[in-house]
Amino acid sequence: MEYRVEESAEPNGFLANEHKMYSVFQLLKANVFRSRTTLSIILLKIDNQVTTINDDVERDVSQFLQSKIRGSDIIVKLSAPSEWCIFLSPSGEEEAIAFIQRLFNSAKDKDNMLFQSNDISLSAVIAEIGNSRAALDEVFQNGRDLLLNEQELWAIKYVSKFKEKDVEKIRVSIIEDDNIFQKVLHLALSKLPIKQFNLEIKTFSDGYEFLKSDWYRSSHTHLIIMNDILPKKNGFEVLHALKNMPNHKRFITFMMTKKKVEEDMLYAYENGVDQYLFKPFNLRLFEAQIKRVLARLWS
Amino acid sequence: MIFVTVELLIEIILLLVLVLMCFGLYVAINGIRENYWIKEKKAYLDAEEVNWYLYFSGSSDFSKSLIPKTTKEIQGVEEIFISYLKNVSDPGVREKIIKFSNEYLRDHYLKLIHSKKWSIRINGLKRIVDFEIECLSAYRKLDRKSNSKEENFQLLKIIGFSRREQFIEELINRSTGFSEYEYKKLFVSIDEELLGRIISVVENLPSTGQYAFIDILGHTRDMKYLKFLESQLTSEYQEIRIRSLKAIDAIGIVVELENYINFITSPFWEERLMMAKLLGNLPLNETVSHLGALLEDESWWVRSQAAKTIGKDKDGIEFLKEFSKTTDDKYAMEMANEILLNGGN
Repeated sequence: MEYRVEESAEPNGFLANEHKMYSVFQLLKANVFRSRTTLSIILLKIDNQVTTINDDVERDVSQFLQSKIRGSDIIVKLSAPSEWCIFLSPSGEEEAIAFIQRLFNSAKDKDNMLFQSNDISLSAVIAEIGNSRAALDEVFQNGRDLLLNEQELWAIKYVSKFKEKDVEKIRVSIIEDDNIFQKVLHLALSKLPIKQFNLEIKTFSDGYEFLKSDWYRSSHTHLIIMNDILPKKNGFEVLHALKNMPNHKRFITFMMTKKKVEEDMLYAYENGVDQYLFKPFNLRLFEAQIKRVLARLWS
Repeated sequence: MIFVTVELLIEIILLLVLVLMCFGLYVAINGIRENYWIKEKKAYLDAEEVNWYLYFSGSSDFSKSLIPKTTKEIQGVEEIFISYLKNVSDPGVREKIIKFSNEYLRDHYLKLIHSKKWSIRINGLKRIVDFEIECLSAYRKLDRKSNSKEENFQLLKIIGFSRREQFIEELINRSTGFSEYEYKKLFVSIDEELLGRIISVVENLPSTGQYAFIDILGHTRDMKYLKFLESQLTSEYQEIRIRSLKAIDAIGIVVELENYINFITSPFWEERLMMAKLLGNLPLNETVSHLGALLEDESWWVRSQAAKTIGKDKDGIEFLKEFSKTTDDKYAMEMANEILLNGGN
């Protein structure tokens, strides 16, 4: 998949063929969900439409823009006059703003002959893409509508319609032999105020019961909260079984323990435990830790 | 030969069948009753577990439905409380449990601790300890000397939170016959302030109590106990001295090496061993001569510990290499080489 982008892109991220831009967008959009990183699209337009912008100037502006983008970004000269599109991947709105400000500062520089001698300025529309429902034409249309009546030069506008991230299903397993505390954890997690993720929670009384189920054999990100000591198969055995699975990095493991045995902790950390919870622990702190772990899934 | 008539045999069989039927009936009734109790407790748990969570987490106010109405419902509440106390550390939860228990469960547990059955009394006392229920004013057996060791153990825990000013006196009087393990459990259960108060009376405790106390001070890793522990190093009892050295090592601070220097040449290898460990809390350049001497000790344990202590220092490997070249003591050389082979461990 990555190869196709390289193939379509000319050196320094310049995409000469506007039609290929749609396939590139599809690819980057699919990656948004898969890698949990947002993509930003910047629509750039020369403000001064009263003066005719000749092809040479457009070519020079293209080169100027091309010199400012990063290795992972892609720039396309659109067929509409004096319009460019830049894909910043992976980047959110804030990074895109910083990029545009750097770009504008460089263009406004008195030594920049291209912009000074041609008396041109740019305006930009930033659209952060957080879901797979966004369509490129719709993004452009929204952007052009915003710039249509814009009087200010060097303006930056925002399309926030496509920012909302797709709700991701995350599996959660609670492996705890104390039935009451098992329910407490279930309630604490099910009441967590997280919009971005849909937690599918299941409880188990033992590691054996968990490993016998098919529950953990899915491609979803899987949060596991388990005791180190369990009746039949303990937390370390579960950890070992998970470590041997392909794609085991999708498991986020919290180990609960009553004893601070450093050797056990070292073993557990080396075998994939992400956090230790020492019983008794503060439930609000636990909720905050879970929220933080989930928030970090999206960068 | 014994002759039994058929009639008598039939009568015996009928009698046995009757006894068996009565026994079966008794078992069945008990089973049904037990099931009913389990169902009653489960019904309470199913109905109120979520409400307890909401109350504890501050999401809802106290509801009267939480108050248990029967003994089995009380057992349900007990299970919930014990689970929360074992697993959850939110201070608000503990406060709510104590308040609720003192208000709604106190009478139930007072009844239990006045029971004629020892096991029921102990269970009651344990729950009173868990839920910090104030009960001593109403406990008739408080002053009786007929209390069992286990009852006195639980009572001391209760005194520890409800009659703190009497704790030290009661500890001396009630802890007779306690094992070291029981003393440790007791000292772990009391707070820092009470633990500090024991220092002034520790010599009145039996040796098991003194050993446990010194060990627990080491576990706290609090340097405020260092002065007391150092004072114990002059004890006439070897075990007290060794445990004090161990506790000081656990705290990990050696203020004045001069206070310990005699132990390097102690006639007891256990004391020299503890010194070999303790010296690891100081930089190697300050302890090198002492550790060098301990590396040539007659005891394998002392030599081994001295080599390990040296090996853990950042300059330890270099020192051991040099030492193994220059020493005439072949046992010390072997030990140094062994640690070198293991990369300092």
